[in-house]
Amino acid sequence: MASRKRTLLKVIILGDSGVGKTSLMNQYVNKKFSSQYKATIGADFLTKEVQVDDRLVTMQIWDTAGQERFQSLGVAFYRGADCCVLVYDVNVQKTFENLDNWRDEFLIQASPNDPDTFPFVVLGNKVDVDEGRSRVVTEKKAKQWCTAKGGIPYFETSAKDDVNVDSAFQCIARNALKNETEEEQYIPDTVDMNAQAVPKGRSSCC
Amino acid sequence: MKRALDDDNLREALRYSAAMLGELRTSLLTPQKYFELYMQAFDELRHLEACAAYFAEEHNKGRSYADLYELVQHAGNVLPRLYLLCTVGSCFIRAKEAHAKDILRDLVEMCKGVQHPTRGLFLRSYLCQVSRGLLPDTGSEYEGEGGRISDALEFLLLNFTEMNKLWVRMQHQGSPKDRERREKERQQLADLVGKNLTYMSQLEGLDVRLYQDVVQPRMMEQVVSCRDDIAQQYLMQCVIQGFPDECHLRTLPALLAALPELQAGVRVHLVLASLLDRLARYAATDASVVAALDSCDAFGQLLGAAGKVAAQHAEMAGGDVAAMFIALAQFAAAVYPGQLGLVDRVLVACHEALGERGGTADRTRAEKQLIALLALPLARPDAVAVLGLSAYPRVMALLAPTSRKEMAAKIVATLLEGDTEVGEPAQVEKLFDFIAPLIADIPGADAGQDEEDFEEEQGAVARLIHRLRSPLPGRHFAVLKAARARLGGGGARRLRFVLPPIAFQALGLVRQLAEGGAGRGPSSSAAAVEDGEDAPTAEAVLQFVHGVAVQLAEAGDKPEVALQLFLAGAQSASEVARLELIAYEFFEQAFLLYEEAIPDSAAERTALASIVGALQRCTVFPPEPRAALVHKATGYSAKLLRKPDQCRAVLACSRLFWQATPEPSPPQDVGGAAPQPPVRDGERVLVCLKRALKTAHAAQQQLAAALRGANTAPASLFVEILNHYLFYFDQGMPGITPSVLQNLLELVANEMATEPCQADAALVAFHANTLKHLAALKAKGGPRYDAIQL
Repeated sequence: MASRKRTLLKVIILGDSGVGKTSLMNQYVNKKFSSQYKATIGADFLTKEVQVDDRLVTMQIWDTAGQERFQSLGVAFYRGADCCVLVYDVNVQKTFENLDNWRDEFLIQASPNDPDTFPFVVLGNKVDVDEGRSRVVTEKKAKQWCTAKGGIPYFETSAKDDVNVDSAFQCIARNALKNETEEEQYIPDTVDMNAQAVPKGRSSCC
Repeated sequence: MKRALDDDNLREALRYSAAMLGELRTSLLTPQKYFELYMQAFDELRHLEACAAYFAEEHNKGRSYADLYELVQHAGNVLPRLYLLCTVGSCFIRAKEAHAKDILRDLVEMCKGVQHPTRGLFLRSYLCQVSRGLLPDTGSEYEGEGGRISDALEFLLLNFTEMNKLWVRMQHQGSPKDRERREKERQQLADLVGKNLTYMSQLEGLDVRLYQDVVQPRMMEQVVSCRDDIAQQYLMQCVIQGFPDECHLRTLPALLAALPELQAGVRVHLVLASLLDRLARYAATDASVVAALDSCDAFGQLLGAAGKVAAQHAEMAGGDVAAMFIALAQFAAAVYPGQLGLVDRVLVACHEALGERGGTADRTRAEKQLIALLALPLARPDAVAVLGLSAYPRVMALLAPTSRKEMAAKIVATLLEGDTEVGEPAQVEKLFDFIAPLIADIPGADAGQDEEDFEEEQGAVARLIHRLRSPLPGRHFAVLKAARARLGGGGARRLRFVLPPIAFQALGLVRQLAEGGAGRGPSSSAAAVEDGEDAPTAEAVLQFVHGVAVQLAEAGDKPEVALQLFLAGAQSASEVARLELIAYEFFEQAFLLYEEAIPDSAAERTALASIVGALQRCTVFPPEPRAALVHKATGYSAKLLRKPDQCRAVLACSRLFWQATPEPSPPQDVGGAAPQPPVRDGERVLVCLKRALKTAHAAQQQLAAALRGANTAPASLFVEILNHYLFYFDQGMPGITPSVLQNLLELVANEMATEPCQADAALVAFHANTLKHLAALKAKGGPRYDAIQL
């Protein structure tokens, strides 16, 4: 049944607090935007069906907490990601500088098979603010960074005005799809208990 | 499971799923490891769920979701059963075969079947996750028959409450010795509970009114009543960060009312700080926000809440109390940058809160925080406005003596950095209240301070005194008097640092008065009227300087400095104010001090040179009093111990009889005596010069007897004498003829020819320069020089 074999792409959105990760996802998936800041607690995803060329794929887009204090359970959900989206706010220098940290952290935690070719996409968000007058990170700067990191695709977006959001996610889907290797269907991933050779206890209480 | 799915064997698929989910029943994993396992299971369940189409097909074969919903309940263990139930339930809702609100209520209730904290929390987290997007939110396709926004909120609130209960219960399970590990695990699980709040805040239908009426009261009720430190700390942060600013603004009283109710172990200052931070950012976005804050007296409320928290929790650390007020002060500075009164209110409240705790002495952290609080207003561009904070010194008084002093030094440094001027006597008083630890001894403040530190500190105070000024003379004088009154009591060792700047400021004022008297008489009196203070007379200011100098002299520390003050006063009285009697009085004091207090011959030499220099330039004295003063000064020169000193002093004294023609200056009407004509007494000069020569010869002989002439000092004296002769000759003094000069030149040349003199490079250069000078004079000097042979 073709419909059931539909590909599932896992995408993780990372970036500092307040850069607009949730807003980008909401704009893309629900076509909704709110300018109010609400911190995201923990991590959660929305799904969206996307047509990439002639394939219909399901994107599972993980929105994460930018504030460290709301990331208490760790980042186990990084694993199995097909693409990582790094977001910064073009009006706040620090959020751009932190991209390095987010990228490194992701590569360490997700440990993809080939870190050098793992697909990232960088989004410079909030280009609408003050009609760009308060912007501090230039497009050139951002592109330089992306080039230095192995040619990461870069988009300037506005979740508020829905600028470039669709095309960015289209690119994300395409890159994620490229990364997705044909996985063996029935062999589940081994659950790595970090060499904690503990026999699975059978507690009977529930 | 997947194979079974592919084979359309639902029953098998469910069986495998249940087996897989059985793994989640483990109790051996830490929350983070459990989360990894959960994620694995979760991904598998995605496959199950992703087969919505498949189920639909199933449905067509005559099976309804209702059947399926029943079917999954056959799973043997409760945990897998509930996971499957949640999964199928979500499909059930998606297919719109049942009302969302019914299924959700059913599920949220059924999940009560798992009461093991970790497993329960993850299960409920799963329930939330799969039902996301399926809630009967406003505008959602599941709204209407499926329920309303209130049902969606009810579901999440219920889930939140249940999860929080599980989470809190965890604290009370297991043995007390595992507490540390358990608390760590609880911290890790926090996000599962908090995520409910994110789901709520992201509901389209959640408006401010609903938040105010339903969500916030229910959340706060749960937060307060759970009486658990970790939960309260975390959830307060979640509430503050997770919901929009507008909501907080509307529910500020309720939010703040919860703060004092929190457990003693909750670090309320962090909670308050993050709320303030949010509100401040919010206020920065739009002026209307500030208006909204004002209309509910947000600042007053916040301040009140902080005070209440401090009062409620007597055991709260002083540092945390101070930290709350720091956050408030920062808030005030960010939202109301111009309103220093608010900062003062913060300080008053802080003083009250900490005062009850007996200050911060000996408690390092509290001390640090308090210093940080006090440093905040200093960061303003108009640091002097700090002096308007009436509560500031009171808060400072809470500090331990040493830190109080550091703080005072910081204030001084800050005021010096800007171009601050303090021009009100009342402000000066305040300033000295603020820096009180620097201007007088306080017990315990000087521990470990060495002389260098002390000098540096007092030097800074001295620099600050130069900032005490007003363009209005009357006020300026009042400011200086106020400063003297306060600083005069600082003890002998401070006086030499702080009194001279006051005196010199006053002398500057004398000059200003003198110039003003000539230039803008009427306008200055107009200013005085406006001011309500009369401009002082120069005489009054000089009397003031006199008093200052006398005080310094009497303190006995560094009489040289006092002597310089007297001389500067004399000079000012004579040349600026033209007040003969006062000038005379100054000299008398200087002489007195010279006779009684100058400690050694080196100091004597310098002091005498200063006296002669000052006297030489004074033109106010009529012949008789002047003669008396000159007599004294020349008398001193003869009494110096060493011959070379005597010689040089006499040379200097010669100038007392040959005053320079005063520089033509604009006529000044200061009401004082007109300048006397310059004294030109060639005979007396010649007496001095001859005496100098004699003394130099005597010195030479004295040395020859003792050291066999290896010393070049006498030769140097001769060159100096020659220079004086040259000066007077050039001035056209009658007693010095070319032949006298010629003789002297030869004498010096002979002296210089000796071996030790030739070896003294400095002396040789001195001599050569002198001759060069003579040559230059000769070149343009006219016929009188013709007789001189080089």
